[in-house]
Amino acid sequence: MKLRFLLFRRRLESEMSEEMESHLELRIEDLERHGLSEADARRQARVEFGALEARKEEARAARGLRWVDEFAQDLRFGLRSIRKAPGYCLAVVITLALGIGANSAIFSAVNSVLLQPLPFAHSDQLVRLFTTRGAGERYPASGEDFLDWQAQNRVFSGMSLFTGARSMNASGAGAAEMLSVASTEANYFQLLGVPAAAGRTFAPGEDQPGRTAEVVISAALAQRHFGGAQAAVGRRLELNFEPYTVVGVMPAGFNYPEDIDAWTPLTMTVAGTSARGKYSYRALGRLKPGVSVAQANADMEAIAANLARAYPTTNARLSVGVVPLKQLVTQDSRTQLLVLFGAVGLVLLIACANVASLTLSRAEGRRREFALRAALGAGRPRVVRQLLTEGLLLSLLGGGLGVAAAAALIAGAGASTSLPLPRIRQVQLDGHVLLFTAFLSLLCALIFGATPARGAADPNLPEALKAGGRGNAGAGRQGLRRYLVIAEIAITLALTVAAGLLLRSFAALRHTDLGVSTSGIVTAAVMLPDSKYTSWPQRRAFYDQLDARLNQAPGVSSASLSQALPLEGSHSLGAKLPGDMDPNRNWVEVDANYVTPDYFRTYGVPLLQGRTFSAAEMDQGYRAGMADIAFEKTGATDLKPRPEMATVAVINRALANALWPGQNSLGKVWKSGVWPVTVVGIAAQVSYDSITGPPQPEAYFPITSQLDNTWYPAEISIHTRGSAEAAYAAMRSAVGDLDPALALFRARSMDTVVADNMTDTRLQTTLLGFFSGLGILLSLVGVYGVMAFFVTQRVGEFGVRVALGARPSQILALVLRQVWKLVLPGIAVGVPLALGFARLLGSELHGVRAADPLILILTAVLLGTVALAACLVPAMRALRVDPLTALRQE
Amino acid sequence: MALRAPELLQGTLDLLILKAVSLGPRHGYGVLVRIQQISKERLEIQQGSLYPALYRLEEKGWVRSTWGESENKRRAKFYSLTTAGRKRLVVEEERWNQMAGIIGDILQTRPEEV
Repeated sequence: MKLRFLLFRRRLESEMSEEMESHLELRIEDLERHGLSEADARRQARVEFGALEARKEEARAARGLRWVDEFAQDLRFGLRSIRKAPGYCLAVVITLALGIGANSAIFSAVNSVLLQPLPFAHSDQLVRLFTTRGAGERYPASGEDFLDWQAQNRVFSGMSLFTGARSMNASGAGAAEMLSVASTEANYFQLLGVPAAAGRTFAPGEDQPGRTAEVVISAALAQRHFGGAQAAVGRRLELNFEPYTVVGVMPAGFNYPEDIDAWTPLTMTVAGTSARGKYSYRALGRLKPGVSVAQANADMEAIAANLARAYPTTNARLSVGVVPLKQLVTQDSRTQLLVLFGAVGLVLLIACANVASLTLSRAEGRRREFALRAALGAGRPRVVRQLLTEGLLLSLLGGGLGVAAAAALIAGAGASTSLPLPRIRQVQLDGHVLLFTAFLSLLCALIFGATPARGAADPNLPEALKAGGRGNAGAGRQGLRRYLVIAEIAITLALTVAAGLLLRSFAALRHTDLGVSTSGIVTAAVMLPDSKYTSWPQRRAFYDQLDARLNQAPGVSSASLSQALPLEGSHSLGAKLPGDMDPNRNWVEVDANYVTPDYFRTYGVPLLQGRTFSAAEMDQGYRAGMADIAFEKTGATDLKPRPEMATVAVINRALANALWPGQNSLGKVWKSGVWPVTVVGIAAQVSYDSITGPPQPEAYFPITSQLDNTWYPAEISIHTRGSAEAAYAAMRSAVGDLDPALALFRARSMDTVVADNMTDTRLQTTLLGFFSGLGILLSLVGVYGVMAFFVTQRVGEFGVRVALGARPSQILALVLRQVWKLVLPGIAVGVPLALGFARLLGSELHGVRAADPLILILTAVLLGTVALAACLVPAMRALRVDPLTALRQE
Repeated sequence: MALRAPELLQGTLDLLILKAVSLGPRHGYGVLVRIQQISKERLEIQQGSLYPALYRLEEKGWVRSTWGESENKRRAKFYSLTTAGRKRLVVEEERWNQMAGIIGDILQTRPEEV
């Protein structure tokens, strides 16, 4: 119906005019018949009819046209007033674009990472299962336990066992490279509900032993090695020199459980997985429809209790925990993202306050215009609508620019490989984000359109017309502007305190003692494929020769091999006193590393007591490792230490204190599983899992005792006197001389390792710093606006004061008093706000308290200075007031 | 002293227009003149307010308009009642009479009757 009127508007308009015209004519004729002169009749008829335009307006309203009409008018008028005040509008649009852009970008991340479901079918049904001990300690699953879980549970429609990523040497097509490979049960992909993009995933039974090997690869690997997904299917791929056939290629973006290049079948037998008591697998389950996580937990706990009764030596005190997959995927980034989201929300608030304040001062200048419009018959709602339309126009402009900015930010983030967000590549601007942005824009329009509307629509007509847009009117609105700026200062304070805290925490992290020296140390990894290095003597010979060659290379002050690098995580094992046979007593959890004797020298780890391994002890460790393999084959499960597995270890104080509190531990014996371990040295603390946190018990074993482990490459570390390049060259030639087919990979300096470990902290600090900088900038503009207005308004007063003999310092004091009226309440409100926001940061902070007085004081001083700087120009103007000019203006 | 239209009850003008138009098609001025004639000049309708009311009624589908020629040979828009308008008029008349009755009763109430 409305549309019809729009289309025929012109015609209706002319018909309406014609109809009213004809009415008037008829009336005039009537009046003339009653004896009036033509002129009198015409006048009389007009008076009787009333204001023609107003009647037309009413008539249009009756036609349902008025709204459309007025909106178009408002739009036209809005555009015109934008052209008339380009500076103001630019400021508003840019302010909003910054606020909305930052918000949209962060919301995109929150949306993709936290809100959207995982890219699996019915992903809310997917859970991970953990072996648990005590409250909240989670361990991987044992293969044998898993088979029991699978057989006995009533809550899962399917379960699958898989491994984390391990490095494998890929050859056969293209250049040899190191791949990240996970092994999975055949049903893994069906359980996740993700089909292959080309070819197929594993067929049932392909995880049984003695079959030709199939491999499913990632879209990226297919592209890299075979030039495309379709081309890859059916091709051969050598992993660790063993042949595999590519049966399928997963869709791009599928990378569960982590960044995986290839998935191989996990041999699903007890021997192929792991016996009870060995926990190295990951278990995935899909809940039956309608089964809750709590129900699943209850069912699994009952099964765990049965297993604990049936196998007390291994399963006593163990239970099973069921955790939603999504919670695991997002748990680490959750706090970070929410903190960032809070921060950008605050920035938007500041932006809105600024825009509202800008608009208020503009409305002040437009009082006369509003008064005039009211005098010409514009109703109060009409003026308000006009203001809202203008606000809407600017907000949409700002929002549009903001989306563009967000898109650019996201594209940048997606292209970066170093962002520590899971699923970062899935972050995109989608309908949700656009809706969110539109919502933000409308909200801004409302906030800053309505603020001046409140005052502007209520003009004291004659007064406003007389005042001519100047004068002292609007003291109340001036108050509102002050509150807005005070709020800005408060919010900026909170943001800046948060940024300062993160900065301090980051600095603290960087200066945290890792327990190792990092400068001059370069590392790389080499992997001995078990298909080629089949025997232990072969492997040991390789390591021994490599170690010797590296240490003799020119420029190398010390070189060593190890299984783990500082900060890169380590293997963990259990420690107990040898006589402790009580299965109910907990093992002490120990971070273990397997090293060559020079490891401590290379990394500058002080040996507080004792010494590192002797050549004889390296041999002893080797024999113990061989004995362990033989023992494994017997299938015995008792935990009596075996003398043939006796070995030595260097341990740290934390382990010594856990085993022998208050005693000298040197020369004492503990047991790890069935291995009796003699302490030969006490080393200083080294951070293996993360920079923060309390010292963990640590133990170092001879690398010769762990030669069967094909999952971990050997890490080479060189402390070089020369350049990093020379050190890499030394590594390459040492490895190449021994076996030219072996690739050196993950070459990087130890400083890089440390920096990589801090990427997310750095990113967060940078972002918050950026947001707080934005806040400071916006507040500066806000304070400037209020102060400039204050000075403009008081020019006359200053003139009088100067004329009466006021000194410049007295004028300055007047201006400064006004600034403090903004800054002091701003700080007073900001401090509790900052404390609240800092508490949100809580777990992210290291080495600094949330209520850090130094940062609070510094921030307050900073903001005070910024406010002073902001009023510099207005203050100068106040000082330069010429009494004559000022008084003449009055 | 004539009553001015704004002092009339809300919706009364609509009722009067419907009634006037029901007596035969009329152009706007004709509707006005007819109402004043019927009311024996006791009602004074602000002439301009007639058109918004007419358009409102046309919007609602109670009257329809066609262009024709007026007494003074000018083009004029003639309004007539639609079927829906006729039904509406009956309803409105009934409601008006009811209301007038109630209000009349109230106003005639004497203290002893309460």
